[in-house]
Amino acid sequence: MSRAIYWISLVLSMLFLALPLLLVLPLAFNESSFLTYPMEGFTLDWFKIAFTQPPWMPAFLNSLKVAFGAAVVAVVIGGLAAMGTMLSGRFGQIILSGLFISPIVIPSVVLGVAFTYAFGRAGFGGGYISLVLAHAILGAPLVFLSVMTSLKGLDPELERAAASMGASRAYRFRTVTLPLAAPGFMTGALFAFVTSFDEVVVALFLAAPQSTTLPIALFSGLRDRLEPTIIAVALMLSLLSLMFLLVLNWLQQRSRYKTRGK
Amino acid sequence: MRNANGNRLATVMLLVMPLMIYLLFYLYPLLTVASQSVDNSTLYEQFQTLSEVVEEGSPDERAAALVADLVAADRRDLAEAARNLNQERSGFRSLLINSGKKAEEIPPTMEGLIAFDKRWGQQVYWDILARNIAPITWRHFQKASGFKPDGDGGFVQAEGDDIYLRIMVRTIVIATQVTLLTLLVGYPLAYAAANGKPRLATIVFMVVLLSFWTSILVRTSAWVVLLQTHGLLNNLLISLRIISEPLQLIFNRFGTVVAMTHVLLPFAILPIFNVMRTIPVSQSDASRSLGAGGVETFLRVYFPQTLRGVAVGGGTVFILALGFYITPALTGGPSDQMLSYYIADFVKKSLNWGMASVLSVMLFGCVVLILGLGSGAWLLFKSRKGGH
Amino acid sequence: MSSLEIKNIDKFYGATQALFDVSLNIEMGEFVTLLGPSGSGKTTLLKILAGFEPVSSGTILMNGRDISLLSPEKRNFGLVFQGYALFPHMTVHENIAYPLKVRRVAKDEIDERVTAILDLVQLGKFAGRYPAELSGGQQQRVALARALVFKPDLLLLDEPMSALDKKLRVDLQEELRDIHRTLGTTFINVTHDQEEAMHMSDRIAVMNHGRIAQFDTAFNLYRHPDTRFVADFVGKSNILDGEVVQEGDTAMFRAKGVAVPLPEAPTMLEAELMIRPEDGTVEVEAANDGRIYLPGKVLSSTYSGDRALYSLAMDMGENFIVYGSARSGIHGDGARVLMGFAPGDCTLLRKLNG
Ligand SMILES: Nc1ncnc2c1ncn2[C@@H]1O[C@H](COP(=O)(O)OP(=O)(O)OP(=O)(O)O)[C@@H](O)[C@H]1O
Ligand SMILES: [Mg+2]
Repeated sequence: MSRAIYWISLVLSMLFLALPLLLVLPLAFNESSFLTYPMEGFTLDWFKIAFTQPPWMPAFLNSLKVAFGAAVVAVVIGGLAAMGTMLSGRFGQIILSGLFISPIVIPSVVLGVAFTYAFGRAGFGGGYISLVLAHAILGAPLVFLSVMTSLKGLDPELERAAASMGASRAYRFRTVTLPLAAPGFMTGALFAFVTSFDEVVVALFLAAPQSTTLPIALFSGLRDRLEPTIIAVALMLSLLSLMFLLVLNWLQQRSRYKTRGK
Repeated sequence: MRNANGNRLATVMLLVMPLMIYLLFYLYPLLTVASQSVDNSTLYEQFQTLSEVVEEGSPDERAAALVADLVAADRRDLAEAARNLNQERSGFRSLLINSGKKAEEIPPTMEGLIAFDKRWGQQVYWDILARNIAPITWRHFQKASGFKPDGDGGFVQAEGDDIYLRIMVRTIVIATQVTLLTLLVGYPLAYAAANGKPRLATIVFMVVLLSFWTSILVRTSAWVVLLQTHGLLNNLLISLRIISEPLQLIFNRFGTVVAMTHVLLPFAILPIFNVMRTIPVSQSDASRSLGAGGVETFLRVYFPQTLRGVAVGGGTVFILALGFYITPALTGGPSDQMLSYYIADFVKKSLNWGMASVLSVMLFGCVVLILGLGSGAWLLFKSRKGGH
Repeated sequence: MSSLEIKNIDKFYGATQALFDVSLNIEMGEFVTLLGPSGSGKTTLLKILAGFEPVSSGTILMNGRDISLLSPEKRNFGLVFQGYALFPHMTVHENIAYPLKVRRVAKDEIDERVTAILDLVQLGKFAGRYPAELSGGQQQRVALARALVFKPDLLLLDEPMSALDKKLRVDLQEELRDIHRTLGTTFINVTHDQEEAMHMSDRIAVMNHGRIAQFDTAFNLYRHPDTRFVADFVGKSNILDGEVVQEGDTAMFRAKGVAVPLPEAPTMLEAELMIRPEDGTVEVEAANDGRIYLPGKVLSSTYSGDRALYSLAMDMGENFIVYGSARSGIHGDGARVLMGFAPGDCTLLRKLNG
């Protein structure tokens, strides 16, 4: 009996999780503009539209620009924050970690409102810079967490060993700590990039018309007119996510230093 | 630690920049916007002369102060002030704007004011002014909660004024529904990923991870396509002759909850999976060898140990669901929108920072409450465990 | 006068004191071992020498220079960690070259010295491997090579053998002693394995509860321990609790059922007498040869070819362990025997209070 319950619930849950995308994404190749089965023939037209007609390509490029900038800034602040926090005392660590992680739990609408208001008052309103900064704040906690995790996983004896061999603090940091924590930085960067690349809510508040990002374009498309181009874009985004997942997997493998013979 | 000074210096150097950026581009925006919930500087600055005499001064002093303030007022600021006051009593806008336009011609006495517009003779207008020109205001909180001072130090709630409280309750209800559903659907998946045969476990885990990494928008759009009136699901049901007319599956509570559950599912599964992974299989085997059946073993040995994961996963989903915006906006109807929607609405439609700020504070308060309850429960749990 | 002088070191961790007035004088080129039970403060002392922990009071002089405030990287001491602490992202060659790069040694010379030291630890073939691709023993030798390649003034080893199995440990002890002889560097080794300590060291500092119980050669620790703790910790021993009395012109040690004449009058009144298992014999009847014979019965015995180790229940109430000849058979369990020993082979121990 317990087996039956397990299998039925597993199959149903699995269908719920996987089926929507599996059913919908193939419609990107449907010749008809009605998003339903049976498909009326195979076409790549919708992809062609996505690549040639506005707003898709410019929005995609904007998203790349913003996500790249946000990831860079997030890695710098999240990484520095993690390293500084690691060096502080126990109490300091609790306070600083709480501060640096906190943007995660703040609803993005609240952050969106706050950024719009403050950036507007400071006079650099909407646009690329403010979007990058806002997304960097959203990404920094992820970098912070992943760098902290990899720094905490380091054997403190390694640093001591380097010290006993005469290496100065800076040299130790550069040659031992940093290389060993590098996968943490890269994982964090990836998370920050994806977070920014997928982010809608804050972007809706901050993006100026000329800095519309892909998620905004998708969001407006979904709200105004549901057409197969949207599904084509969604399909490509899913493939991109798959790629990110593979990169992440590769990073995690690398950090284990299992077999690296030369 | 050794060489404490060197350490402290390095720590400070590393932390300076991140702290500065957090302060300038995160804490400062949050605090300024939070302060908007009680900020009344527009009105306060507008009526600064009046605010000094409004409580104690004689009628003529008050009238003179008001006229002076109106003369000095900038047109646009006055319109804004009038809009705010109009929320307290309709008609105030025209009264103030008209008085403002002609302020130079009005004699600065109570008589003169009343002669210009006899409404100035009514005490309510002066009371409203007195209440609303202090540097801090509870106006927005009153509006959000529907509770207004009744003049005797108590509070009354007018019929139909509890709209934001009801939205708040709706937000919590939807978040709860979504949380329960994600746990229900997520638990078997986490179990299969942690304890299934290697092949199955890998497949389930990969699907979960892939879903986690797929953009929320992409997953939401899949649901829109599935659930819309002439969408996949309706067409399927019709062609199977289960229904003859399309069902309304989207732009209502059903669509919202289903899509949100799907979108948030990975956040419930991953914590449960992480806990399950640490529970040795031998425990269940041991229980069964002691004569407990499969169901009993699960309920008495396995499930209680996974509760920590369930709590973390459920808490995460609940907090995320509270602040959800996109998915309800795309799959919900007007009566399924959550607090976030109204916050965004106040900013986009009317630049009403005060209300947006109050609702933000309320939403954030909910999150903090949940986090507080969660960490409290965790501490209690830890101390109980330590006491064994 | 090249030497390491440790003077009156106290070490507190918060309120708990881990070291009490520790003083040691170590000569250049010596192989010294810190030996003691778990928690006795060996690692603490080693960390203080390496510079990872500050002293609470006291000084460390290296060739007369006070180094107690120097940071670890300025001490020029090699250190072999218990877990080896090899850098996982560097090859064996890069690991060993690290201290030389720090010292800005020219590239050619680095290669030369790394190759030479790798030959010394017999790992020439493994230069290109990563630590994860080496066995425990090989990793241990890389750690050793890395700590020695920059010609440190002092080599500190924290339980370098503890993670290895018995056979490998013995081989490496041998190798370590050879390397010590070849290089002539001062070695300070930490262990709680007394055999390892006796095997390798010129002198051993026995530690107990944060104090140096005795600092001496292996021979002296074994034959002339100062205290019961050292006697017990270093080798097997039988110890009698009693008092010293003056009878005529001889001083006598008296315990329940025994009286042992002492060669010279000691200063203490309460004392303990130690008899090593190999100083006693197991007999059937007493001879009149000045030795003392005590009656008892065999509890058990372990035969090891050349001799047997007996566990005896003495009539006076103690249990003794004694080696007996096994040339003409072994006494069975329960057999009544006599344990004989010469008074001159006994060692009188100071009795510590508490
Ligand atoms: N960082 C620390 N904080 C507080 N107490 C410590 C610390 N390090 C060691 N101690 C205490 O100091 C005493 C000596 O510890 P130490 O590590 O030097 O022992 P040890 O002789 O190396 O033992 P082992 O053989 O188990 O390694 C112990 O009682 C230990 O609990
Ligand atoms: Mg130790």
